[in-house]
Amino acid sequence: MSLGETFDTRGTCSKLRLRTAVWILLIAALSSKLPAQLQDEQTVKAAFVFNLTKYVEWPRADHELTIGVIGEGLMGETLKRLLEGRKSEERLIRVVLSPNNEQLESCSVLYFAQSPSKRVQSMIGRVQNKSILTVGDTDSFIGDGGIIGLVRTGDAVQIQVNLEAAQAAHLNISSHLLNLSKIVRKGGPKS
Amino acid sequence: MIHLRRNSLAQRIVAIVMTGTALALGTMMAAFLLLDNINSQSSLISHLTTLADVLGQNSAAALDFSDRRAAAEILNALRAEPPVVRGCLYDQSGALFAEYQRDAPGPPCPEGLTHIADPNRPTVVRPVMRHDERLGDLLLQSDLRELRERWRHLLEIAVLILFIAHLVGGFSGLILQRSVSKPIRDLAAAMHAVTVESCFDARVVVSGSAEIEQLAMGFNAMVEELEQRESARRKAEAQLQYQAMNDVLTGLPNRRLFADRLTKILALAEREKRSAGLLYVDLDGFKLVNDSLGHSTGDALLVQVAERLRLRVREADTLARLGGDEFTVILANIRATEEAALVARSLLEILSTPFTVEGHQLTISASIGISLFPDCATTAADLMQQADSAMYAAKRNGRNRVMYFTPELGSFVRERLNLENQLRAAMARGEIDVHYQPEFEVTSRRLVRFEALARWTHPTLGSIPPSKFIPVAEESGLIVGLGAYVLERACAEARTWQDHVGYPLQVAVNVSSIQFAREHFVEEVTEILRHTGLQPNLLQLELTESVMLTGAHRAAETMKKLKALGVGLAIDDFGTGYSCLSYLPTLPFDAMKIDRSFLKDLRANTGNGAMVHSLVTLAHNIGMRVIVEGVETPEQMHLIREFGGNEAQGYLLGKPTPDPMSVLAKQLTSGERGDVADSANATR
Repeated sequence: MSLGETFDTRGTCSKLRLRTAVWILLIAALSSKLPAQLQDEQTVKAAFVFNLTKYVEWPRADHELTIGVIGEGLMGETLKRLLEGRKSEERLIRVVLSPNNEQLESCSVLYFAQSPSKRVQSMIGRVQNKSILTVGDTDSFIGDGGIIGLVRTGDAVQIQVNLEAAQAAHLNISSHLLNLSKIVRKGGPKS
Repeated sequence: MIHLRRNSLAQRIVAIVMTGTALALGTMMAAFLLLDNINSQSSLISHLTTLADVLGQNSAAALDFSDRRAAAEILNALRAEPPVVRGCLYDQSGALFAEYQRDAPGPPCPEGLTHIADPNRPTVVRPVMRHDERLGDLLLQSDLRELRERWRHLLEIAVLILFIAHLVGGFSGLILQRSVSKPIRDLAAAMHAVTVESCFDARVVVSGSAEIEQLAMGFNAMVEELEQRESARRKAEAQLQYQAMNDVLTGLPNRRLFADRLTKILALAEREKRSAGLLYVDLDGFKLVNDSLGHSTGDALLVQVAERLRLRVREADTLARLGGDEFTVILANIRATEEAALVARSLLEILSTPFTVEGHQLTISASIGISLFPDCATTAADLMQQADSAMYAAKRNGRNRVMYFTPELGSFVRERLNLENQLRAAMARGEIDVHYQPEFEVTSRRLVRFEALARWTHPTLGSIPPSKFIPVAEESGLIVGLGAYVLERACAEARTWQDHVGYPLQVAVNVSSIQFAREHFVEEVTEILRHTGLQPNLLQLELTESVMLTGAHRAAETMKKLKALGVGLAIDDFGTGYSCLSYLPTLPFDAMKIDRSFLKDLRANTGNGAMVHSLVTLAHNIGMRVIVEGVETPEQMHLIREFGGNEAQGYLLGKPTPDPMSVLAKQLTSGERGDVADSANATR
């Protein structure tokens, strides 16, 4: 942490706070409506991503948390719009759409938005053992070697966790999260 | 064991201990229960708080990920907490997110987060936090059912403990009261022993608490004091008893004890068919000693007499002093009649040795009467009376002798007693008269003197001779008053004679030795002479030899004083009494009166004649005149003149007369000289 960055953070303090408040209200408003109507699945998933960061422990402490988004569609935009600049556990969130290789290195979370299995598998192969939390929203994501899958089942979004993949990536997932999740072994989801 | 009587100390102590225990424990229990209630309520709150915090933490993720099912499952963990009625989880916006109800149709959670105030349902609302971020709120509400159950349970235990404590308290009270009430009960028992059983040995052990100790010591001291007083009282009682039964002076049994012993001994003798005897001992002339030398000398003499008598009385017999100079001896067992006389004579013998009392040599004798059981009398009273009668008979028969009771003596005592009372009454009524018997000079036949003689004429019994009433008067002490009366009457009478005769005419008055021994006798005589106006030389006092009994020296002193007054003194009834000639020259007698007994068969060459002749010579030789009494014949008169007797008296010459003036008148009319004897001859 450099002095300049600290200064910057301070310079944007009030602005950040205001934004945080807005987002909290928004998420609260959304989440309260979630069980009743799943209008904006992407928004919910974005909120889930934000919340996931709080239940996962990375081996290296960082004051920034970069979320890389892989895949096409509005999800990337939604994530950027909703999470960019927010703070999770005192870490500033940055959202990078379609990161290049260099950017990929600095990512803590890699979101695979509606990505086909092959692409997912190749990407995961590249980031394996790099302590990157891989999150995807396809049914096959866990089977493809992803760590957390956010799968829509009926009205709700189910969280699937591949513990082996998480362990391989040296990530600790909170038991609180695991309590809510479906634990899936390699080769197929298991509860 | 322990007697719990109503209102007893023990009962009170037990009650106090039990009440105290109950009060203390009850208060403690109440405080404990109250505190426990407060504590358990606050611990319930804190438990709820902890529970809410833990559950909140656990449900944070569920809130994060809007997992109502998971949240409900988490809340379901409250099943393990029976007091919790419901748990309501609210999300960040305050909307109900998940709920838990203990009872199937339990109270529903309010839709929005509102504080529910219900005193019967402790409620806790805790925020669900993740780090600093508030995710929502968890409301936990419990009821007091379990708390109350627990409280009721505690109350039951408390009551049980209270009950047990009450029992234990009562029991320890019983033990405690022993230490307190036992000494008191001991005291009460000891007091009972003292007051009811008069057991003054009763003491209590000094132990226990200080107060009890003090009480016990006080009690012991009190009993000791009582014991001392009791023993002093018993001593005094014993002394009184002794004094009641014994003569204080001699220590001999007194009349009461004597009567008691006599009754018992007679009863025993009757049963065992034995004989018993009673000796009645009376000292001769003791009254004289008492009156002349004083009571203390008399008492000292009595003590010595008692000591001597005791020496001669057997163990089985009883010597008692009835009072005055009267002693009795009960002979418990006698085999022969003579045995009693033997004992009586041995008593006389031991008394015959002269006594030395306060420097005085005293010779005393006794008269003893004997009565025998069952020969003479069968009752104690009769025996007593008979012995008394026999004793008086002994006295009448010349004293210093022993006499058995004979039926002829029977009435004597009563007669004597009667006589004494009669004499007393007669003196009071003035029945005692004075008669005068003339005395003549032998050679000149001139009337020289009248002898005054007391005469008692009883209104019914008639004339009572002096030989009968003078001894009674002497025994009873009436002689003092009687003597003084006669002396005064005689002096007054003699004073009147002097106006009718031309020469001094004397009056002779007899003086009892008891009278003479009185301390103020000389003063009494002086006083009588003074107020009758009689010249002392016209009075001749006639004394018997018994005046010597009180001591010749003392008698001589009194006589010298009388001589100094000018009173003439004559020795009366010479030759019958003491008859110790040696004292005669030492006493200032003017005249000797020869007793009439010498005049029996008085002839020139008989023994009596020689005796009278010798006595006349003797009297003349020591400077005394001789008066011969009892002259009844002219022959006697002739011989008296032959022997040289100075004066004569007798029936030949003149009988006692209540009217001496008639004799005087005859004397005066028949001429100055010697016709009286002639007239006497003529009358004969």
